[in-house]
Amino acid sequence: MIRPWTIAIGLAMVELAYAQTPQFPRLSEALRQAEPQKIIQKKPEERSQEELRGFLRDEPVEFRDRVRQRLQGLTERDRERVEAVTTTSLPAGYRDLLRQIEEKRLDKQVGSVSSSSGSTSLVSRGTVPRILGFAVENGGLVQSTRGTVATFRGNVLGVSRWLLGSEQFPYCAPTTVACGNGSDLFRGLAFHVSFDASRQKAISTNAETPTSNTPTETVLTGSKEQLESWGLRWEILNRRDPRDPVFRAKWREAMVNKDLLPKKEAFAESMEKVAQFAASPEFESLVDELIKELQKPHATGTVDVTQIIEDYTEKAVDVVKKTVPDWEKLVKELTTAQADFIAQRDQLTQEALARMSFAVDYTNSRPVNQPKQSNVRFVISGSPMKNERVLLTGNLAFTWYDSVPAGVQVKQFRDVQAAIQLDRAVGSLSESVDASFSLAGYYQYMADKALIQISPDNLAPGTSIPLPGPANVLLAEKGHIGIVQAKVTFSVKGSPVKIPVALTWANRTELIKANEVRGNVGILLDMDALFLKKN
Amino acid sequence: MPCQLKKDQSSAADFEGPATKKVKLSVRATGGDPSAVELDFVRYDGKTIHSDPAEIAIAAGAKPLIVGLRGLVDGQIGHLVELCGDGTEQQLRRLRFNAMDPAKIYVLEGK
Repeated sequence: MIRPWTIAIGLAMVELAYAQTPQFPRLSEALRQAEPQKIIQKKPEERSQEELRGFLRDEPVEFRDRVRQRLQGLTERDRERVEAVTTTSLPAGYRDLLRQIEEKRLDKQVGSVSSSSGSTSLVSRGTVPRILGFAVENGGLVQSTRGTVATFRGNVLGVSRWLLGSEQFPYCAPTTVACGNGSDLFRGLAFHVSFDASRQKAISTNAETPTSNTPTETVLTGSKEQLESWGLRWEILNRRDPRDPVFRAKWREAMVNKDLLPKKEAFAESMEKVAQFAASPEFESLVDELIKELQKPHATGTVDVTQIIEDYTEKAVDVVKKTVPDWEKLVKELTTAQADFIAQRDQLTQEALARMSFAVDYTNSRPVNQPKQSNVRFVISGSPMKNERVLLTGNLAFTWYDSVPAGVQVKQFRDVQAAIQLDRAVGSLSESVDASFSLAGYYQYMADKALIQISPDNLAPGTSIPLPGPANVLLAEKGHIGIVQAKVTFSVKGSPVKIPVALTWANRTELIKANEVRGNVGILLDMDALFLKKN
Repeated sequence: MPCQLKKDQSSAADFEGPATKKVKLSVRATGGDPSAVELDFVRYDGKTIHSDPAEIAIAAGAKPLIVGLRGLVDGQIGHLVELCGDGTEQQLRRLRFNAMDPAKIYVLEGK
């Protein structure tokens, strides 16, 4: 049965997916503006050659640039053609560049959070995948229990666009405040759901909780019993007010950055090479023909004028292909240089305007033999050393029990956590493997004894200690938990796969008051890189 | 110094001017915010000028003139202008800033 709320969510996803402003507006839309309409509404025979020439040269028509865009495959018409075989129409050069940037990013949280029974992340990072991420991680960091946790992460906007076959990586300049109606609000909204595959056997057989010493069959069924946690995250984009003088000064600083100059030079040079067609007699003859066509009686309304200009854009493209030697090579060079310039410009702008990213995470977790818990985590991340190969991330989090069982004397507020992590890109280990190194410190204050719910015939999780109590047990003392972690993350170049291997030392866990050293390993799949590879 | 460039709509080129003469080009945003769209660079006759205004020497023949834009407001309308030296400005072309496609093609003919 279809419920009304599912229809509402579906409609909201459609709205989100199509709320983006097109990068290259259609000619038909451009011609509906006031200036072109002054010409279009005249009788064709009353349109002078001079005013039609101005009409074709001025915005919004800019006929020469439309021909060049068509050659580059940047236009809406090309998008329609391309979408017959693929869901995306980004220029190849721009796509390659974005993919390389994605592969080098240090700031993505793909796996589970630190409180999970299977995690490799002591600290939650600043951003999450823009479409989908998937992780399988083994071994808890803070909890006494150890499991194998599968985590699915997704961005609400990215998933909506993927399901509806829209562009996955619509371009959005950092200075552009209104980048797409309401969709900006949802760009930073993400979700996650984690399943502990090792729970099934324990629950179905009422056997002891799995530990690292008791191997169990781990089958991910996605059942309610295996649901370990779910959560929502909002990445607060630091889009400042463009009217602010500080914002403007920083933007201008980025625009004249010396690192940008070579990219700009290459873009300008390749643009000039392609633009040679505009000064050729063949192209000008075609423009003369187009002007005459626009003076004929059939060129009456916006639809007809649009069609005529579109037809002549195609003819002009054919003229360029016939008259410009190596046009394909020149256009490819232009597209790559343009993408390179735009990406560098926007990266510098982004760094100048927002060196820090902020996120708020809500996680509802269901730890083994413990009451449900809610956690709010504030994440701050950035490169204060102005070095993109170094990333510093800080977390501050609070946890409380959703409800405390009757008859148990324990505070509902459970703990407060603070953590910091330094990530450093190591670089290439081989032709196919990159690596990054992370060092993290974590502090947790347990406001009260940890509450566990367990039947009398069971053992304390992760131990061989028999529990005397019947249902609700307070274990371990309240107090301080300190953890340090060293981690190496290997990434396979050109693939979405990352493999974190971590070594963690803790002075105690939430339930057990004893030092512990643990090894954690995982496999992370960041599907953003995969979507950018698709062509 | 009077304006050097002529907007002859009957000509094949956008602008004409006397060869070897120097002209200064800039971009003016329409509306109250000058940073909404600005001149970023000019490429003409094999040279890139990164200053605003950009001064170029008119070369003989019809050649492409590339005007690079930067701006804070995508879709902002502005004008390419010639700074005429006597304190006046001549509007040459209306243009629109597109952050994804930030350069425009014109043709300048030196006679």
